[in-house]
Amino acid sequence: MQPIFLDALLWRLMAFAERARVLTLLFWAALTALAAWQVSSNIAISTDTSEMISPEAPHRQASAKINAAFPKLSEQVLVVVEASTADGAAAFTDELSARLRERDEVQSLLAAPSEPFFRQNGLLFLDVDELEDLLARLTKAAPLLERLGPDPTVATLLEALAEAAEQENGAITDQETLDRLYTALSDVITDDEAIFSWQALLSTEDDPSNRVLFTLQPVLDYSRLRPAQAVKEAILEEADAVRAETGFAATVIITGDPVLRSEELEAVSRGIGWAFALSGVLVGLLLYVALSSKLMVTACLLSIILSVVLTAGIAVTLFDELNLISVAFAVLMVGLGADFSIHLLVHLRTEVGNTRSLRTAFYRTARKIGTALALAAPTTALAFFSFAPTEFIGMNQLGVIAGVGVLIAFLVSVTLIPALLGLFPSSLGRRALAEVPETRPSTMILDRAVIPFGLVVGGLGVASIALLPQARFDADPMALRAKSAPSVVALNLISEEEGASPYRLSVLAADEDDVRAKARALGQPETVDSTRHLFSFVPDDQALKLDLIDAAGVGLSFALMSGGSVDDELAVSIARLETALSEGTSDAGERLLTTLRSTSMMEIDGAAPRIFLFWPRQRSLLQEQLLAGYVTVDDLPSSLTARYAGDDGLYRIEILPLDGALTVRERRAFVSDVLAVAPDAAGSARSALAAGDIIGQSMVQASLTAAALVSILVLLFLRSFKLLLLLLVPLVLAGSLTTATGTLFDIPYNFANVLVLPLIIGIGIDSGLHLALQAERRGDGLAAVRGPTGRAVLYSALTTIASFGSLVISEHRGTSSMGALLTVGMIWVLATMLFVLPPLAGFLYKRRSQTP
Amino acid sequence: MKQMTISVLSAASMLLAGAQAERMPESEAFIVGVVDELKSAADTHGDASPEVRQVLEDNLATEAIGRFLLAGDAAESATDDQRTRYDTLFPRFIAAAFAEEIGQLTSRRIDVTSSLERRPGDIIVQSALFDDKDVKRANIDWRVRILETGENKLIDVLVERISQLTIRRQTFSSIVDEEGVEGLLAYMETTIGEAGVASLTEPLGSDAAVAGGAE
Repeated sequence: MQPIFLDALLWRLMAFAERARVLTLLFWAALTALAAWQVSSNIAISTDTSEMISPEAPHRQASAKINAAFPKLSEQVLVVVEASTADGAAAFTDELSARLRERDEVQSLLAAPSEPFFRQNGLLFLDVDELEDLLARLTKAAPLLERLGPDPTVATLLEALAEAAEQENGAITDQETLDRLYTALSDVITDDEAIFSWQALLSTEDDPSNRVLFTLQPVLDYSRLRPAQAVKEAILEEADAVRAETGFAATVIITGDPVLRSEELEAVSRGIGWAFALSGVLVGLLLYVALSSKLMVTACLLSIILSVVLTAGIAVTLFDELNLISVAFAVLMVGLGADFSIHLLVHLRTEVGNTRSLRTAFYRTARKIGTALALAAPTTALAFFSFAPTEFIGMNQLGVIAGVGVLIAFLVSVTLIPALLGLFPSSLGRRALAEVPETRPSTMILDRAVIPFGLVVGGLGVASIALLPQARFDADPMALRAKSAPSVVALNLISEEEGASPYRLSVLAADEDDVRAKARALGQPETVDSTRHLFSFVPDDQALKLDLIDAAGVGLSFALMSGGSVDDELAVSIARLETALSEGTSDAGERLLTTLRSTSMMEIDGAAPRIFLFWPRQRSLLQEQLLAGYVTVDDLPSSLTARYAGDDGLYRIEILPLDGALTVRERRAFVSDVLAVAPDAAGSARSALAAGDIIGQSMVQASLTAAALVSILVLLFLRSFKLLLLLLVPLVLAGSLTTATGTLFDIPYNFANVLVLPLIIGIGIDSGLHLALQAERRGDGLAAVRGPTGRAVLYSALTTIASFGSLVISEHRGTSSMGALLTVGMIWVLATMLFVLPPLAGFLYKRRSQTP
Repeated sequence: MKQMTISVLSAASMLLAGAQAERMPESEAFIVGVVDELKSAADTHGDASPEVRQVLEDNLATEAIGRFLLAGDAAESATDDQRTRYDTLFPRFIAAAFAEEIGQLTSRRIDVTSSLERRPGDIIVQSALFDDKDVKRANIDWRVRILETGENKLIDVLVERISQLTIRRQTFSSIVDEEGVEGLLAYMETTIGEAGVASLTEPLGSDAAVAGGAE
């Protein structure tokens, strides 16, 4: 039995709005203007996903302690400089970092290759064996270094090579170094783009990295929606200037949390205007097909727009700052606003054709769907409010906003639409949208198909429950971001570098002894690669290393201060080298010989700028390196110290995972191992996992609470367990099927798409109530589907898909996954409502009719 | 004909940033003294004689050299007993090893030309080796360590910029890698036993060795 007072309530509201139509329209117009002003003046959106979890959560408390001691740490911007050679990357970094230090947008900067401290003491950071190898190589190369001097020529180089090739104990005796030189020279002479790498020649590494990473502390402008935009522009601007003024070529990409967030907003907004324009056209067309009335389509669209704007006004008033989840209330409001309006308008369209007056149509509509419509609003709102008490702040904010928004959408629908229709009654037309007769072939097919389809969907739904334990929430903010965003490309690039994983943990320590003790313990687990702390930057075995440098350094220093050979003649040098190489030394020598014979002297000489471009830097660097001195913690650069020693005397230990912990499984093992040693460890590795766990629990808690509250409300008003079953079974199946589909197709819930669950609950309750009440009234579930209610359910879901399905093509992975999961969710809502509910209703009410 | 412009001595004070620009007369005098003593002992008692070795043992920074030559992995692999034997053998070994090499240098004329303090207590005394016809044959650089007591001690000799200390460390490492610390100790005992005969490297100061850097 359905409560008539809800029908009456709806009828009175509609009648009042139609009577006082001008007043009603003015009222909503004024409120909408006020809300729009409130939104435009006060909206603030935080893209910080860590803020979406309760500050009471253990991982957030641990993070808070580290953030308090090192407040600027999360604002670091990372710059990646990549060139064709290691020399090129380092030289470009020298120039770029020097320029950036002068910029107002940069507070401080740490570029190790350009930092005087590291330039001078870099050798101390090598292992003893590495250092000995390097010094031996440099010592062997000393005669060449001495010969080249500060301003070498190609003739000098070739002359030195000729001597080396001629004599076993000549200028350079090391065949490996000679071969490297031969190969590099052949490359540079034959390829106009190739640049000679002195670092590769004089390094013990086979292939020294041609990439330099450096960090800077930006001055962020929080008055802008993208606070890091200014520093990003400054970096790119200076990089262009370096290219233009020095001729150095390198690509510069920027990453770090502030830049990632900035580019995330860009990716989210890029192309979204076109997507929504397309959606608007599609929705308009769908609504026209559903309603066959321009006035009704306009009323529906206006109703949706007003619902969104008014809810936005309430949201901005209630909360100082929205987050990436709560801001998606707009999606919910479009879906639910359309749902209320479509149910009302589809029935009104039918009744308008069957009656002579608009008011009578309102009355008949209220009698048919008043209870469902009036009950759907508070029930759905209650379901949304169930999200409020969870630890998942992102979702509880959305719960409150959407709960209020649903009530607003209901009020707007049942007052604005009658007022608008009342203003232009003649535009409505009088053609009724009648029920589809049972004898039509399509109806007969539907009748025959519904049970098999219902069984399939129901079976899949039940089976999908088995997959629910595998569902996961991916709280890693990186999972949302566009793969093509430069900051994401940069982060992925450096994640592959040893010791550059973004998934790290930090632990605080009170003093040096505490730092060392904790670092020792934290270095033990197998999942830990290494630890970094202030004292780890003081090199080991310094006395021995300095002795080694001193022993080799005296001779090398003399070689490096040489004025070089100045009067070698190119023609003579080439001829001499060709003769020496023609006696056959190695494959590399053969190749150089061929190159020299096939290249003109002018071309060989023309390669000089590319051969010696980075020679001055390398020579100067070698000179500085030989001046290494004993390093204490007080000698470390302040920009480095600031990262590991806080102002309040606390120290930070950074823990790096083995192999970067790039998969969730590796990350979980790493975090678990570290927490076993240091329960107060915090950082990106722990935050994403802990947030995912909390969100998963919150979603279960909220869903169960919503189910309980909705059940109580439905039972209170409708006093029917069968209606409750008709409402909940399709709803639960739709939720389970959506989650299982996401699990199967690797679309886990994330901060962007998690709103699909409340949307399913909202539209599911709404459509379920309409269909269940119709089924109860008629005693036939199929009849409900065939009538305007079924049409409204269909168009409501299709409108939501048309509104947001296009987001699937977004380059922002969060937005794209929202479009995908929302489409999947709406399809399952439709499937369960249209194929599961009717047979279930038939089953339940047939049994009732058979009862004597 | 090529011409090398090697501005060595005149630019010595610019050699290393941070180095003291002033010459170090005490260290220069120390080297002159050591060279004279070695020459006198060699003239009187013969090259690599016990007297020559005694002069070296008295003037070498034996402890620092011994520590440096066995530092690192080699030292870590030594037992306490081996370490003690090493410390006992080392002063005689290094004197014996140096005797032959330095003896060949000090038999010629060596003129000290300059000096500089590279680091506090670490002095480079520069000199030139001349042949019988007073033609400069090689640059010889002496690394002198000033101990906490103020004494000057010789730590390394560089012939044409090549550190003998580094070469000797490489030799030690290679012996320890192949034969272990016991092998190294046996090698040291052999060198001491053959005092005056053993030479760890190609004779320094020979015509072949010095020709490469001659002006």
